[in-house]
Amino acid sequence: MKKPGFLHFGVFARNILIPGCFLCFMAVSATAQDQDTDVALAPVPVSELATSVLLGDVRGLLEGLQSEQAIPYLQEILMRLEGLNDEDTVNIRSTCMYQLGICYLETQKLQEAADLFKTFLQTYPNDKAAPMVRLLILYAYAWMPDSKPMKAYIDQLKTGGELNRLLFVFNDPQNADAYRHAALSLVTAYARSAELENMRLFFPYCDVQARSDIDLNVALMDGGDLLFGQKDYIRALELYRTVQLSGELMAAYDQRLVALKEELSRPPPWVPLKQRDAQEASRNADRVRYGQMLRERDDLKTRNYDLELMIRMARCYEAMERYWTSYLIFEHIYKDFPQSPLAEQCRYFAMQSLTSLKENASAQAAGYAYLERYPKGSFCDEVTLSLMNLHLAMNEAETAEMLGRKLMTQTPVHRFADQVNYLLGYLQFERKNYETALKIFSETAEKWPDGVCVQGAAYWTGLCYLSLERFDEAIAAFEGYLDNPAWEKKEFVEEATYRLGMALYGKGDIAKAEETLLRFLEQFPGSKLRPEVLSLAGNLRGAGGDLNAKLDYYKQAQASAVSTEQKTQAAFQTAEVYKLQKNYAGIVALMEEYLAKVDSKGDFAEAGRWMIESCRTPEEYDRALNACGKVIVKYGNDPQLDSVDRLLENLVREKPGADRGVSFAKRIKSRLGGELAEAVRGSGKKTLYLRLTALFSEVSEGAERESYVSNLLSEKDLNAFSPFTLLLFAKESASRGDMARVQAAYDQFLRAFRSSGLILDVVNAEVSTLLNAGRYKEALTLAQGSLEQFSSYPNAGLTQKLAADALRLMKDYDGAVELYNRFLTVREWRGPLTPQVLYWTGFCRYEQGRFEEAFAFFQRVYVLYEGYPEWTSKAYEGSVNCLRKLGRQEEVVKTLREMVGKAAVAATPEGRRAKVELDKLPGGSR
Amino acid sequence: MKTVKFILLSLLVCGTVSAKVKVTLQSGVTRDISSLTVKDGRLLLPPENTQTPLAQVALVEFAFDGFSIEQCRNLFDQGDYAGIVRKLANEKSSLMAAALLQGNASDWLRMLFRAQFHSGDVAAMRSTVQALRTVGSPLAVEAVPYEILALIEDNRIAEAANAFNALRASNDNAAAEFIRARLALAGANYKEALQHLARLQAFHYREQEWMPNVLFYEGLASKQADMPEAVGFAVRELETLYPASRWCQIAKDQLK
Repeated sequence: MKKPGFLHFGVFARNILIPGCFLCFMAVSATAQDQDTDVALAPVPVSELATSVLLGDVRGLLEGLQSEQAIPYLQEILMRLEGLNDEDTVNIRSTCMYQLGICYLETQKLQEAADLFKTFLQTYPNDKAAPMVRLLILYAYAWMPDSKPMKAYIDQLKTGGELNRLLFVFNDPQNADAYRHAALSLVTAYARSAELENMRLFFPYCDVQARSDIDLNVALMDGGDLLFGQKDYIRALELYRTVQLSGELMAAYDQRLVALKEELSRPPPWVPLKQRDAQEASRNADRVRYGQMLRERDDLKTRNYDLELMIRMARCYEAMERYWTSYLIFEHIYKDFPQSPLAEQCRYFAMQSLTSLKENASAQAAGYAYLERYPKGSFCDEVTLSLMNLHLAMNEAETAEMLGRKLMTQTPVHRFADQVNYLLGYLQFERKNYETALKIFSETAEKWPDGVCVQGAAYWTGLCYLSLERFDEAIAAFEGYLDNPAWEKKEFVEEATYRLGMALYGKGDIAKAEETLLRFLEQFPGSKLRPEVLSLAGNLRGAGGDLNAKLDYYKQAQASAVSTEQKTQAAFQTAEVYKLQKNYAGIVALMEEYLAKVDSKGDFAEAGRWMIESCRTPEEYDRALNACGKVIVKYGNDPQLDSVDRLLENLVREKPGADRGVSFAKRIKSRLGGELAEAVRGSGKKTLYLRLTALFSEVSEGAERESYVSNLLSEKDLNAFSPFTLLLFAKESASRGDMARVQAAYDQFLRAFRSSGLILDVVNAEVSTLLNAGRYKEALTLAQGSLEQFSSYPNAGLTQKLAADALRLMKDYDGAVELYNRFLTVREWRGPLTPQVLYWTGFCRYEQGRFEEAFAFFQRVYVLYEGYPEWTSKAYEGSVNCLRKLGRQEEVVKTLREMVGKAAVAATPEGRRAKVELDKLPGGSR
Repeated sequence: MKTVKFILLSLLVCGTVSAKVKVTLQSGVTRDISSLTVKDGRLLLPPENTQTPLAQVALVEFAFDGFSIEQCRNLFDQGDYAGIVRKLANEKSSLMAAALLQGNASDWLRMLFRAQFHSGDVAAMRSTVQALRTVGSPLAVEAVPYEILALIEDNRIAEAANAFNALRASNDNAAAEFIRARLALAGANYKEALQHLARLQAFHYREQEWMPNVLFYEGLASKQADMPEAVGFAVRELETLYPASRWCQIAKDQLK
C-alpha cells in the first residue's frame, strides 16, 4: 500500500516534536555520529553495543531515514532504559519510543505503530508530543484495511473529550507546518479509503496549499471511485467535488514553485560546520522537489485531469438517473474539448443521457452526429442499435427497418446483430406482418441461442401466434416458454402467463382462461400487469352478461393501476359499463376523479368528452368544467402537451343540444375567465394564456370573438403556441391574407410539432395562402410532399384537392383531373369536399373543350349534392355553359328554369344571373 | 488558556455575540468600542460621544468574540443560516453605520442579508437591503438577485421576470441560473427548470450557497416530470450533505 502523504508528515513529525529531547538525544550521541547519510554499521549484534554507541548509531540512521535499520537499535535502547526514572533518561526513552513509532509507520508496521503510540500516551500522558501521537495513531489506523479499530479509537477520543482537544492543536501557530501536514496526511488517508466522516473532521484544517496537494487530490478521486463502485453515488460526488481543478492546482503549484525558487536562490544561512552536509543534503532535496513539482505541473497541463473528473461526476448523476446533469457535462466535454480523446465517449454518453430523458429527437441527432464524426468509432455498434430503437420510439418504423437491414449486412458483423434482428422482428409485428415476424423471431432464437434476446424471441413467437389467432400454437408457445427448464430466471413470466390466458380465452376455453388469470393474480400480486389481467378477467365475466362482476373486476383494475395508461384504460372501461347501466352520474364522478389524479400523460380529451356527454344537470356541467379547467390550468402551459389541445377541441366542439349550446359557452367563459385573467398577469404562463384565448375565441361570436382572435394574433413569440393555438393563428392569418404570419406559423409547426395530428391542417392553411398569392408551384410541391408523409391523416383529402387546384390554376387540366379523380377514389375523404372536386373536374374538362364530360360532372354535383347550394349553383351554371356550347338550347332553358325554381340556388349570384338570362328570353322565366 | 478559549468558543455557538469595533482614525489613533453610531455624517465615539467626521476614519473592523468571518462562512456553507442571523441580529445597526467605511462591515452585512434570505425571512432581508440602498452601499446591487427570488417566493412572478430582465449585471452566474430555474418552475416548465438546475450542479457546484435550494427544486421538478428515481436521489443528497439546511426538512415533508 502506497502512503503518499506520509513522507512529509513523518519528516515534520520527526523534526518538530519535543525539540528539547531531540537536541539532548543528539548531544548524548555526538560521539558516535557519522557524517554519511547512509550509515555503515559494524557487524556487531546490537545487544553487544554500548548504549552510547547505540544512541549515536541510531541518530545517524534516523537522519538518513533508514527506518528499517533503526528499529532494532531503538527497541534495544527502550529495553535497556526501562525502569530508569531520572529526567534525562525519561526524555531519551520517550524520544526513542516516539521515533520507533515513526519507524514502524514508515515501514508500514501499522499495528505495531498504533500499539506503541498508545503505550507512549499511557506512559507519557503529559508529553508535549501527545497531541501529535494521537494523530499518528489515527494515521496508522487510517491505513489499515480494517476500519473498525480506527472507528473504535475515534469513538474513544470522542467519549473522553480528547477529540476536540486534538482538533484544537491544529490552531497552534507553533508547529503549524507539522499539524498542517498531519491534517493533510489524515485527510489523504481517509479520502483514499472513503472514510468521509473522518475526512470531514480534518479537512477544514487543510489550507489552500494542502488542498492542492497532488496526492490528496488523487486520493479524493480514488475514494470517489471506491464509493462509486459501492453505488454510493452521493458520497462519491462529494469527494469528486472536493478535487481541485487543474487551474487551481497549477496556480498553487506556481505559488509554491516561486517560493521554493526564491529560497534556493538565496545563500544558505550559516550553520556549524558539522551541520553543513545535512544542510546541503536538505537543499539538494529541495532542488529535486523543485524539479519534481515542475514535472507535475507540466503533467497537469497535458493530462485530461479535469475532464476525467467531470466524466466521473457525470457518471454519478447518470447512475442516479439525474440525466440532465450528466448530459450537460458530457456535452460540455465534447463541445468544448473536441480534440480530447475523451470527446468520443462523451458524445456517446450524451446520446445515452438524452435517450434516457426521452429526448428522442435530440438523442437521434446526437447519434447521427457521432456516426458522422466517428464513422469507425468504438461505439458505432452501440449508437446504431440505439438509433434503431429511437426510430422505433419516434414511430419512424421505415427508417428503423432500413437501418436494421443495413446493419445486418455490415462487415464486420454488428456486435449486437441478435438485438438488431429481434427489433426487425418487432417491426414486422408492429406492422401486423405476423408471419414474417414469426420467422424473424424463430431465426433470432435459433441463430443466437445464447444471446440476450433469446427469451424475448420465444415470448414474441407466442405473441405472433396469438395475433394470427393460431391459438393452439400460441398456447403451446407460451406454455413451452413457461415450462422451459433452461431459463432459471424467466424475464417474461408475467407477460407469458397473461398472454396464455388471452390465448385460452381466444380458443374459447373460458374456464382454463379464467383459471390462468386467477393463477396470475395469485402468483403475481404486485405485478404491473395486474390491471390488464383484471380487465381481461372482467371481459371474461362480462362475456356472460354479468355486468356487476365485470364492474367489480374493472374497479379492482382501477385500484391497482399504476401507470397512467392503466389508469386510463381502467377508467374508460368502467365508464363503458356505467353507460350500459345508464349510470351517468357515476361517469361524471369517475372522470372527475380521473382528471384530478392523472398526470400529464392522461387522456384529458377523452375524459372530458365522457364527462360532458354524461352531464344531465347544470351542476354536473359545472363539475365537468371545473375538472377540465383544473387540468387545463395545471398542464396548459406546456405547448407540447397534445392532450390539453384535444381537450380544448372537445370543449369547443361540444354542443350539448341547440338550446344548451349557448349556456355551455357561457359556462366555459364564466368558469375559466378567472384563469384567463390570471394567465394574462403571469408572464410565465404564455402558452396557457394563448390556449385559453383560443378557447374563448372559439366559443364566442362577433366582436367578442374578434377581440380574442386579435389578442392571439398580436402574440409575437411563436414558441409559446401549442398546435391548437398555432393552427387557429394560421387560419385566422390566412383569412386576413397575412401571408407572412401563415408562413411563420407553418415554419414553427414544422419545427415544434412535426408529429402533431394537426400538422396537415397547418399545411392546408399554408397551401391555400400560397394559392391565393398565385404561388402555384410552391403550393403544389408542399401539398404533394405532405401527402407523401401524411396520406393516412383524415384531413389529407383537402390537401389532395388543394394539390389538384394548384395544377388547375397552372392550366394543367389533365394533371388536375387525375388528382381530383384520385380524391374521389378514397372513401374516407368523401363529404363536403366532394361536390367541389366534381365541380372543378367539370371545370377542367370545360376549359379543355370536352363539354360532354364537363356537363356530366356538373350534373353529378346538383343531382347528388343538393345540400351544398354554393357548389350546385356553380355546377348549374357550368352545365348551362356546356349545353350552350353543345347547341342544346332547349336544355339550356330547362336548366336555367331549374336554377331559379330552387330557392337556395336562386339566392346565389349564379341563380340571380340565371334569372336575368331567363328574363331576356322570349317567354321569360315562365 | 486553551480551556478558556474552548469554553468561549462553545458559548459562541449558542446565541448572539457581542461585537468589538476597532476604529482607526487617519491620525493613526485607534479606539475599541462596542458599537458604532453615525449621526449627521459624524462618528460618535463613546464614552464621551466625541464627534469625528467620517472622512477622518481610516478603518473600522468588527470582531465578534471569536466568531470570525471564516466561521461565519463555515456556518453558511453548512446551511445554518438561522444561526448566523441569530448571532448578528443585535449588530445590524452598528454594521449598517459602517457600511460605507473602509473595513469589514460589508463582509458581515453580505453574510447577513444572504443568511436572512436563505433562512426564509425575506422581510428581514428586504429591510437590510433597503437600508443598504438608503445609505448608498454598493452591496444593494449585489442583493438584487435575492430580491428577485423573494418576489418569486411571494408569487409575484411577472415582477420577478421583469426585474431579472432588467438586471444589467452578468447573468452567467449561479444566482442568475437559479432565478431562471425558479421562473421556469413558476411557469410549470419543468424540463427547462431541470436544465437550469442541472447546469448549476454541473458547473457551479462549488457555490454551496445554492446547493440545498437547487436540490430541493430539482426534487420538486423531477417529481412533476415523473422522474421518481431522480427525486429520491435529490432528497438523499440533501439529507447526506446538508442535513442542517431547512430545505432538507422541507424536502422530507414535501417530496418523500
